[in-house]
Amino acid sequence: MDLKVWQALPLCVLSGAVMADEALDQRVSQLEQEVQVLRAQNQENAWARIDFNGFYSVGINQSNNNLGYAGSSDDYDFNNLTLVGLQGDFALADNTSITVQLVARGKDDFSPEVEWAYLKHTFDNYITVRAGKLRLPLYMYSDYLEVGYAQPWARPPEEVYGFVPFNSFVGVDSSYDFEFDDSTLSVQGFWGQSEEGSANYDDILGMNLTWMIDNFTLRMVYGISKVTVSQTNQPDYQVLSDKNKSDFFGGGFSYDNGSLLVVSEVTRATVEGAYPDVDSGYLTLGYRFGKVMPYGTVAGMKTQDDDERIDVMLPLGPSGSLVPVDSSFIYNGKRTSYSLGLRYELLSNLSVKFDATFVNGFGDTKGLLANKVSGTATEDSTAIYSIVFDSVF
Amino acid sequence: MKNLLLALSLSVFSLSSLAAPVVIANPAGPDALSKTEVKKLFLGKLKKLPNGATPVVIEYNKGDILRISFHELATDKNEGQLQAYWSKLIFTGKAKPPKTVASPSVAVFEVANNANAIAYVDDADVTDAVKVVFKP
Repeated sequence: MDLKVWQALPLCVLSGAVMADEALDQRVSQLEQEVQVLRAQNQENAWARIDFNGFYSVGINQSNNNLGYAGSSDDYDFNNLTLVGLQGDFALADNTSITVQLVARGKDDFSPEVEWAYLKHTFDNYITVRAGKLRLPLYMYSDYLEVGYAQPWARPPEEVYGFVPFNSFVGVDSSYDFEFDDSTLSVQGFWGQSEEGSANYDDILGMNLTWMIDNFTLRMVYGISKVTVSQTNQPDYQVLSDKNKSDFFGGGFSYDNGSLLVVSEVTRATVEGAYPDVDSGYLTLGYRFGKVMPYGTVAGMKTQDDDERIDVMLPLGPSGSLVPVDSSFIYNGKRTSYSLGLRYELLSNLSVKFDATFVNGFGDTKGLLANKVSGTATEDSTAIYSIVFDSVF
Repeated sequence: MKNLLLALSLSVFSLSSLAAPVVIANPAGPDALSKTEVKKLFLGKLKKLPNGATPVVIEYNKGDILRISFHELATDKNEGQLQAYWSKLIFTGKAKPPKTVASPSVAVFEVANNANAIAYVDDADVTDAVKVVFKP
């Protein structure tokens, strides 16, 4: 009896081990199946086809007078630099998606506006076509104009970025990236129309080339449009703009090696007729010391067709009757701005910027500043102080 | 004292091991990648692997120490620059950032199970299920 038990023991242990092994195998294959099911479910899950991203800026600015430069005044203002953007990307198929971006700005009482809304398809040859509401890609920072976190400054240089009165259009664009060993050349063509206030911009057609070589980026853009200002809203309708041809030419350069940042753009915008032709440009230098980046910007703009001004009819006569007025004081303009700022990285997705901008060099013009044109402010220089927190999430 | 020595040698070991990230691929994937290809892959610019397949890039979560040391070597971008870089691409709809995983073992698992997946791990975490295609 004892012997039998003793003999059976190894068998039991052995078979027990085999059973445990089988159970383990079963358990493993069961788990593997579950993983497969979970992975399959994950691919079918609608949430896997949707991406949400956002950006947020909250800032305060104040000017030393009421020239109204960049939306500032001599009182502190929280609304001017504060905005929130939400973007949803919805994949319809592997190469087809819809993107919608809503931006709500403090200066518009946070009523959300659609800035991007497009259907995008990438063909097998990697040509991408987008149709819908798109950003007008005139400037280096146009595509992420309001994503403060992705920009070095508290605000883009106003002399350059503030002149074209519309930032998006409805139409189509197409782009392709030529990939070379050490560089990428992006080519983008765009076509569409835009309506902003009482002005219509038809037959917008343009192209840009962006060449990225390591830390260098070079950019060229050319675009045309026909500008029409609606007769009912504009007292100066009679001559100023009826499908007047407008050209935009821009060149940009940037260098960023992680420490040193150099950005510069020059633009030339022309419109047939009395509306001003403007040349503008800026140069920004910054240097990152770890989390801190001091920067400086010089920007300038000047109208180029001051001798082409004509009289416009304005309601300045007795009881608001229209009288001819020389338009030089409205459309002649020049100014220079000097900014010193500091960007500090609080987190990897949150930065704060302090900026002081001094503006002068108006000469005998009103600097295209509405408050100076209307006479509500008469100073020959202005200084704006800003603090803005920028985040992406 | 012994404990101190142990801790010291461990920390030296972990420091040296952190400085040695390697890029891994599936055994069925590419045999080798160039520095340029690796840089373009992890910046979302490489559309095709050398074998013609569409790459599936696997990244680590923001702030991961391995991620920081890898990008210092491979793309020359720190965490803030990466964030700004991807913000530009996300908010222009040009590209989506890579899928992120929480740990090297998950990265190895993903690469082992997807012929087109590319990830990077500490060379100590490389297993037989994957192959090393680039050492920065």
